[in-house]
Amino acid sequence: MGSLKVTDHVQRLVEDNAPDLLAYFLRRVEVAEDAADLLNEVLLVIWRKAGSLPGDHTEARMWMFGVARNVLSTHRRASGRRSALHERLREQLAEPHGGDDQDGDGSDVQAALAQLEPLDQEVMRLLFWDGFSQAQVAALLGMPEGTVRSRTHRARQRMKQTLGAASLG
Amino acid sequence: MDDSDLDDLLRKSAPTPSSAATGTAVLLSRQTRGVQAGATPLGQARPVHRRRWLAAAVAAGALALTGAGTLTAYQLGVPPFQTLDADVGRTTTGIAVTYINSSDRTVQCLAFIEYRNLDAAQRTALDQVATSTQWAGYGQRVLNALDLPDASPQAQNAAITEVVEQDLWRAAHTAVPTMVYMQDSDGPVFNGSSLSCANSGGVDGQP
Repeated sequence: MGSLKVTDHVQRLVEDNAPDLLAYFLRRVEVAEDAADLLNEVLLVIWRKAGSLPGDHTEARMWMFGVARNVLSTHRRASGRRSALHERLREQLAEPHGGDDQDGDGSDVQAALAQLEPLDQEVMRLLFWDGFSQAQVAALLGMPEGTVRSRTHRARQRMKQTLGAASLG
Repeated sequence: MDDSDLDDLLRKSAPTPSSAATGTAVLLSRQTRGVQAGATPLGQARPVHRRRWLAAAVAAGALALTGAGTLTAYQLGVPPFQTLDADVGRTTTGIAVTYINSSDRTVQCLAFIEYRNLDAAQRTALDQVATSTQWAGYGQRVLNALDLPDASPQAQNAAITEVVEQDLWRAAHTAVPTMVYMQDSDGPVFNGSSLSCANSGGVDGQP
């Protein structure tokens, strides 16, 4: 494959996953605009390491989310260094946004999720917000798949208790 | 509530970016590819709060260039039309940034590095950057890599300006390794860049 075709291939993969990467960060930052910084950073890293990007679409997606996770864990705000598009994205993220919950804003579910252990929260976010399978979550978090299953079970029980108590209250 | 109900609620509670933000994320991914396609290795984006010098002479109606003739700093009205702070210098040789915009107009620009605290040898090294063959076909190469064929001429020019500044910084840093990026320092400082553009129909891609 020529270099142009390779970069076109990478571009397609990056473009396909950029919205999901943005959503991934948006769901994990306290200040929504920071998701723009993180997306910008992860895109730069992805292009810098494009030679390591797996050819398979699913594996490439996993690889990009692995990069995203590292970027998130080492995030240092660099508010002084932004492109015009980067700035535009921050402004758009500062506006209200929500999930698909037509009956509410999902805040009660999010609040119940926030009461879980941090690692359980991340397992549930990766499973239900980012659409990864249990095997993929296990790979991303570097833990056995059985641990993901047990954590998912435990998290479900606790969330049902929390939400049930809230509805009774 | 059973597991299925909870799973459904969880999926629906996911914070989701607006469609506008999602679209911008895709554009940003294309721009990042453009950065990668530049003449020098990828680095960080530019600061927001900095001066940008754009074709003052043309905006003043002092210039109407035609054809594809070679542009000089004088023709593009860099000095004396664009002034600099007392402690800021600018390279004397412009880097040609030429491209055909979405209105099929050839936009001809010259890019200059601005700096502070450089000695004579370092200034010479920066001037030599502009004469490098790495800039041949540079403007069109950047635009092609940005992959913004449907963007307005103004948007194309803005995107190119972003990439040019990043590339100039990295080229300058290669020429003067002790140079730092827009910091308060007594040593060599990359103070930004200027891009002066003109074509037969206007400036900076505007009609």
